[in-house]
Amino acid sequence: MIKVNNVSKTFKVYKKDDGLKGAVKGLFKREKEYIEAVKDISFHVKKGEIIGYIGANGAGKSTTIKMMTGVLTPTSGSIEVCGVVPHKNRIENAKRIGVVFGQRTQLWWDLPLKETFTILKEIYEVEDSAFETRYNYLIDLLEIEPFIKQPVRTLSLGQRMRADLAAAMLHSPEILYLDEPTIGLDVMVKERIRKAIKELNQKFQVTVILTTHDMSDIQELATRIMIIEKGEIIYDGAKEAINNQFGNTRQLDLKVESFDESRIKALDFFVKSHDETSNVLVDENSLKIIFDQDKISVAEILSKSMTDFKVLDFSLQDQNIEEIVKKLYQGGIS
Amino acid sequence: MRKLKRTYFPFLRATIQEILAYPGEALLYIFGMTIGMFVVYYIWKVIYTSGTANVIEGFTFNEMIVYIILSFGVMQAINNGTVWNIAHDIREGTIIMNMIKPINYHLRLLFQELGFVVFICFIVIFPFSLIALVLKLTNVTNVILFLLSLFMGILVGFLFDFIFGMMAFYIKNIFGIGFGKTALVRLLSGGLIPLVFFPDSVQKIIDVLPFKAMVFTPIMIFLGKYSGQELIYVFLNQVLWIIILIGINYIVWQRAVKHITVQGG
Amino acid sequence: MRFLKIYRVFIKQYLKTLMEYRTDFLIGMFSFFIMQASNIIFISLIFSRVPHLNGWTYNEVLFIYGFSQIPRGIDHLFTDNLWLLANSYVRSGQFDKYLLRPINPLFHLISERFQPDAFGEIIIGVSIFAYAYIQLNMNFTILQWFMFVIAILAGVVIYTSIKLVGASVALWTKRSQHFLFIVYQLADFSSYPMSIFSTFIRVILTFIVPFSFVAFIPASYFIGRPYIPLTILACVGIAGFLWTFAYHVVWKRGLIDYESTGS
Repeated sequence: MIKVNNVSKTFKVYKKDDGLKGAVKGLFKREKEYIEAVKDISFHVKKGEIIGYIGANGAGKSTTIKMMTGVLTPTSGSIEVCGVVPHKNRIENAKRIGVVFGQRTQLWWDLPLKETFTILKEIYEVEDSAFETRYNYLIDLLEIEPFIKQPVRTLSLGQRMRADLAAAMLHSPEILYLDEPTIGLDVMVKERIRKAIKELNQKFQVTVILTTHDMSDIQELATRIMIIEKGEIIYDGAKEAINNQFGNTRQLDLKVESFDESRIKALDFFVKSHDETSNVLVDENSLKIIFDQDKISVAEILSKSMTDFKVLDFSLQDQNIEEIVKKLYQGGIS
Repeated sequence: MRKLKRTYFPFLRATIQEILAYPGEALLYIFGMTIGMFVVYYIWKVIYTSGTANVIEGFTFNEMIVYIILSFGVMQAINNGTVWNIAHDIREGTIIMNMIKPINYHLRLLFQELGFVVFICFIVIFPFSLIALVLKLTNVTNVILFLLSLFMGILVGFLFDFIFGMMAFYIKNIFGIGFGKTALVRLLSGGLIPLVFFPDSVQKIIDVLPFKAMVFTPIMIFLGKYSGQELIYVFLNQVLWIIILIGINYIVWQRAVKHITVQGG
Repeated sequence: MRFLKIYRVFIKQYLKTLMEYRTDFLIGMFSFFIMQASNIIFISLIFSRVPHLNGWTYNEVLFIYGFSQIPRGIDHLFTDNLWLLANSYVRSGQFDKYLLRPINPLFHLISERFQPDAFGEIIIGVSIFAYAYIQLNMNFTILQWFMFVIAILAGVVIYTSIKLVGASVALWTKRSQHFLFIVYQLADFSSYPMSIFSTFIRVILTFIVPFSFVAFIPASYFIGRPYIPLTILACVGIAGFLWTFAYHVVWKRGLIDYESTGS
């Protein structure tokens, strides 16, 4: 369905020096710098897949999505979406896709939500009967009815996201691109949106390409994961493999009163004896312990730490994407 | 006094830095204004060369050129962001923050505007004054008096803009009406054509308005058109307007503060 | 056609919002009235001192001025969104939206916004034109009215094309409002008889940024002193050429080279 072959994208950036002198110099001669945002990537997507496309900021995610949606033209390589080359046949491609940006809306700011749907119906040439059914279904699924008459600018972030999702699905697209759809939302709303996406995928076989920084999005939705780093895809495969390796990685931050080289070493030894991939890092006045919770529990680490150190405060977080990517670079997946 | 400078000077500097961050754009903008200037120039050129008189309403052609260039420069200096700043603050609600902070809103806006004024002075007014001095179109005394009068004219313009900006509380489309206001002020202040060209009856009306003090007065001083007594009179006129406008500003601002604290921004 | 249907939906929506904010609209329109009025006062004051400007009388200058505001206003009415493109759409990433919908992006961009304030310009333009028409004892034949409409339409196309080029620059530089501003300043020249300007400016206004074809050149034809032969035909030709250039050469290229912002 989607075929991406050896695609690269290079941007030309003009470097501007700081200050007045630099600005004046900039008027005459500017240094050109070429940034390879995406380097020779290839992948194929089958109908009905939900792909979690992850990577650090600036890794090339958005660039890839923009090329697949036809916004950007690849510098080299080819992309085919349902047999259409996106940047060449933008309109043809647009009929088949729906896009939701987490950071900004595609709806009309001043118009009431209901009118937005009316306009989209015309733009996408949705037939009346199909529109009725679809419209009612989406309103129901995303619980939009309560605020359907309000202008878009008055909606909260969660409401707006649901509205954007409904708008993107109105014309029964075959592919749905979601760019950070849950960013900034609270847990309840995130759940709702994830459920909706899952249902849409199951019911209509919509292929979903999802970019996100939220690992739980991936956990809940994705069947396949692609990781991009510095313009290259360093992992493309089933979610399970990542899960097995990193899914249970957590990070414990400890604020301790004083440091003692030997005690830190002892802690490191202790944790590594249970989980050899773990790490104990020192950062200013806190210790960061990265570990696999399948191999050693938080309680065990905490109790050992509290015995050896005076712990002033602690916090526990999930592993973040950056760490996973770093690890992948270093170790690879077994 | 030093504290005044220390607190508010950063705003002035911030404006200048903003402009210098995109010097290309600033220059494009100045260039754009220059084009407008040329339209007016060519019209006057035709008038002076085709007509029989060398002096029209007391202006020689050279004096008219000085007037055109200075009026564009001065219009830039007196007419810029304050109205938009206020409208923006009101629309975004940040005006409330300005009331909470221990910084005088008026002074802050004034210093922001002065940043732009400094820019215009260095790019347009100072260089032009120098050229005019060299070409013996004016003398040093006049230039000094001009700068003093210009500063007062800027104050008048600022105070007026502030009152006008307060309208953003009641009118949503302040952006649209801002254009009209600029055009009107330009006309009545002498920015488009020297005020002496208006029929006498109209001039009498203009005389009781503050706009003359913004553009016409300083430029006439530059050209040395006023004798000693007249000079004192126009300066007093500017001072008078500053006082009156400060008074009105005070009333309007008090009312605005009340409006906000009751309604909530 | 589908485009008309879509446009109608946009306009309907827009008029609805407009009715809600009636006062704002009137204020905006009034504001343009004042802008126009001050220009006309300027012209009147000039002519109180001289009988003619390079051979052009007061009424003839008014005729040219009124003539120039009509296409300007019509263009302003429909294509105001181009200013926003020059100003903010690329920088904020909003422009991507136009590339993701199954309609012509330019049509989508333009039809989204309708600026009724521009009626101020149009009304004044028509009024001044009518006044001068009467004062000059003009009497258009049917053919001449027909040519008048053609000339106005050509003027609109010229304005839009030039504006499109200026706004398209933002596709490369992210923001082109100051550039567009300069281009618009050049339009002011076209409200006056071209013969008063230097050759250099006349060349620019004729060959590089052909605003002279919007008002002065067609107006001169109707006044009876055509500046160039085959006046109206030339206007149409220029309009066609400019549009082709602006749309097919500049805009389309801009879309290909477009490097959107944001991550």
